[in-house]
Amino acid sequence: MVKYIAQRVFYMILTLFIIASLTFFLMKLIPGTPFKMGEKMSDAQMEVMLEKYDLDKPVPVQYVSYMTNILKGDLGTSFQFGDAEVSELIGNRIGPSALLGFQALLVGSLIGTLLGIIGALKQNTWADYSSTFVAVLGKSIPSFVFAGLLQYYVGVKLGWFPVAFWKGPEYTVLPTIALAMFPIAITARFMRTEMIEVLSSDYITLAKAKGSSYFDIIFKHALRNALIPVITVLGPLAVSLMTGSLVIEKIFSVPGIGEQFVTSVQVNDYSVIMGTTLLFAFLFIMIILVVDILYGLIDPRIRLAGGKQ
Amino acid sequence: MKKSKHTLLFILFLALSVFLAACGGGNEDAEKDNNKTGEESGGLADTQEITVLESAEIPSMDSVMAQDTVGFSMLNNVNEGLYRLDPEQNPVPGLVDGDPTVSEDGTVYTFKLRESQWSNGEPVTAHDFVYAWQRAIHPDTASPYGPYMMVGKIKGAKEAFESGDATKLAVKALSDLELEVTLEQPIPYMESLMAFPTFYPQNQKFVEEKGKDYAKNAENLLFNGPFKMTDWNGVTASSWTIEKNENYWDKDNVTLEKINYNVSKDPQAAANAFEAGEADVTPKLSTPAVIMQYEGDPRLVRWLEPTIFWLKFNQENEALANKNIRMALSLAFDKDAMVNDILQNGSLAANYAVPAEFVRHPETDADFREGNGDMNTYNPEEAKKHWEQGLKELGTDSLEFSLLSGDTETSKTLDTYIVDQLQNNLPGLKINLESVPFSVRLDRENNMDYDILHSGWGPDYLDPMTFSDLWITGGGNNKMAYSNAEYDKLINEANTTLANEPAARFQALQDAEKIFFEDAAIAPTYQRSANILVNDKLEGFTYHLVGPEYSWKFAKLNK
Repeated sequence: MVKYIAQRVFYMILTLFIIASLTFFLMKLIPGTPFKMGEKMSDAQMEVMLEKYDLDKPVPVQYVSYMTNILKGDLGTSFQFGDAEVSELIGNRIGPSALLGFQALLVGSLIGTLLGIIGALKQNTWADYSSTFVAVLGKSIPSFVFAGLLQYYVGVKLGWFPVAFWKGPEYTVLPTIALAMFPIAITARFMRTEMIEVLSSDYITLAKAKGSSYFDIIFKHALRNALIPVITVLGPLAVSLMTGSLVIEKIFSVPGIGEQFVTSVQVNDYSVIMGTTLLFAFLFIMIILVVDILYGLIDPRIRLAGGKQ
Repeated sequence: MKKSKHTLLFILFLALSVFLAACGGGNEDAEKDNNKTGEESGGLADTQEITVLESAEIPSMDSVMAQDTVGFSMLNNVNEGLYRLDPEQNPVPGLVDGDPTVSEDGTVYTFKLRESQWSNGEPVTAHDFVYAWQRAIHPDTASPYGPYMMVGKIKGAKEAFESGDATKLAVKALSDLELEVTLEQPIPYMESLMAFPTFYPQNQKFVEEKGKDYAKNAENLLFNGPFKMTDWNGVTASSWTIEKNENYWDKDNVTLEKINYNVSKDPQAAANAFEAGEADVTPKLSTPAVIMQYEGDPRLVRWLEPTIFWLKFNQENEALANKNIRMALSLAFDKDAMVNDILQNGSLAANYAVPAEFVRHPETDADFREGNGDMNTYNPEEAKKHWEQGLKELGTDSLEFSLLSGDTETSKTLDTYIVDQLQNNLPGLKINLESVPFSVRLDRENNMDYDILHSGWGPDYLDPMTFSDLWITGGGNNKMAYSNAEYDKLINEANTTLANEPAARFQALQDAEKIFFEDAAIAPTYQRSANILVNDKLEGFTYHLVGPEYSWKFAKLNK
């Protein structure tokens, strides 16, 4: 097990290194200038600016100095935000995104699981159809439409929750609901399919024959096995939810990292692009490891490679 | 032509500003009165607190490093320089006490400063100006606006920037309250220039003491303006607060006690927040769909910005170096239909290169446009004639260009329309539309890597020169290989021999514009309008045409 984990960590570092290098060179291929004052600056001034940010040096030299700085823990400074430290930019922005993502994941997976179970148990009844309907809606309506409708009807018309901004827990309600639609849809669909399959398998029949209670069969035996594929999708979904959504953050004025990341790409804010990409990559790699470990906990049949056969 | 254009303008303004009482004087007055003077009301509200939405975070509160509208706007409200702009767009004394003494040749200004204080109680002195300006020009600071605003204007700026010796900048503190500034040549718009935040003072001791932390958040800033920032956590903050500054020299004329800011980047969301009563002022609304919901609503405040857009023709392209071809292209698309059917936000079809309602004749007070009128109107027949003539001169029967432009929804719709019109009106023309992000467009413009470019320009000071000197031969912003010796001569004269003769200088700049259009150097497209929602209880809402966007010093909340 220790050997396995050590191996995984080594590959994680290698993956991060490759991602960092690839992103760096790809980013340098994006055309455009990072200086929004570009059209007003004289050539002499442009030279001074390029020199200050080391952009006058050849790309390989920039690459080496960037990688060295990363090892020292220095992610550089932003062009877009007057020389602010990238670590600070990310640190201040990841919180709201992560909170919203977490809430949406929690709400989404719980409701989704419930809908999926209902759908599977009451197959082809009105309950099944309505849960499928909700899932299809959640999957097919773009989040900006849903967010806009929520904001207008629940925020402006009904006045139940604040329309936008980020000042307290009540401000997270509407963006969380908007963000949760997708995980609800995904979880419900997977859950329903898996549940139907698991319920028709031999061991469930056996459990029934042994006289286990209905509750036990569903929640102890069936659910545990049906959860495996759900967890597989939920892992990466969790990361993508917690790293922020451009649309939701823009509409609800959430100071999150998703919006900041997209803007940084649009304005060629190199160090912010790099820093955020590395963070996202790290989170994805971590979550994959966590998911792998979770598999073992849920289903003893899946033991990690290198474990006891 | 001229008459119909002005009638259109007038009708437009009447229709769009129904809530304004004073439109009787024609479009010239409409501009001035557009800054809301308020409705009849039952006195001041008990709590003088408002919420304003901004379209972006504040990237920098360091007046030397700021380069964006939100930053400039905030600086204008919490700090002050020699002058500030009033609701009528005129520079009025800020820290300057009385009129400056100006040398006979108009190049040496001595400003006497009034006694005033920083928010930490220290006096604001002439040394603070010298320090800030030297900091702005020093190459190590890498200020985006410093060199741009100073080189060619303040004496010694170029030398200071190139040598790294900021003391070469000709700005001196004669005493604690006397500031001497020497110019390269007389600047007729000196007062308006001095209202720009790059020329604000900074307290040396404070800036150096804070070092890297300076201007990082509200605690690491000093204020000397009508308001002070009481809450701002730095560049990532999506909300911040300013409150009335009790140390401000003119505090008796400041009514608002507190302004809360929130960032809202989505126009519909901003309008929703406004409807829900969560905001008193929205950012500029860019989406026609949102603006249309408020057409005719007194809360919609609209004004014509001096920002103008145009198609630039890169004359390094052999075909575009042909005047007839350029002339044909510039006459062959219907701009009125473009602004009325596509933009739908009160923008004007532009038939000129110096915007309307921006600058006035120093003596007659007539708008720049009144003298020069329309220089380039839609005329498909005329366009076709030039086109055929041009093709003959080039010895070909078809031409293909690429049009480089923005990638926003509005740009794409607009440019598709323009391409369509041009191709329909000019047989044998093929235009490939290239929609790219702003940063790419800037870069390719700088490298002159385009055939035709749809871009724009907004002014930084109240003078036609901010538009006129773009097109001098080899000018830093020309970037389309335009060159006309006669044009250069007029601009040069305006800058030198005519610098002390405002009327003659104005005439020279108008003449230069005529030459520019005889050459068909560009094809102007439209002059942009700003549209925002303002609570109708808010009186004295003040926007500006150059530099900082808003001043809250003059605003008050009614019952």
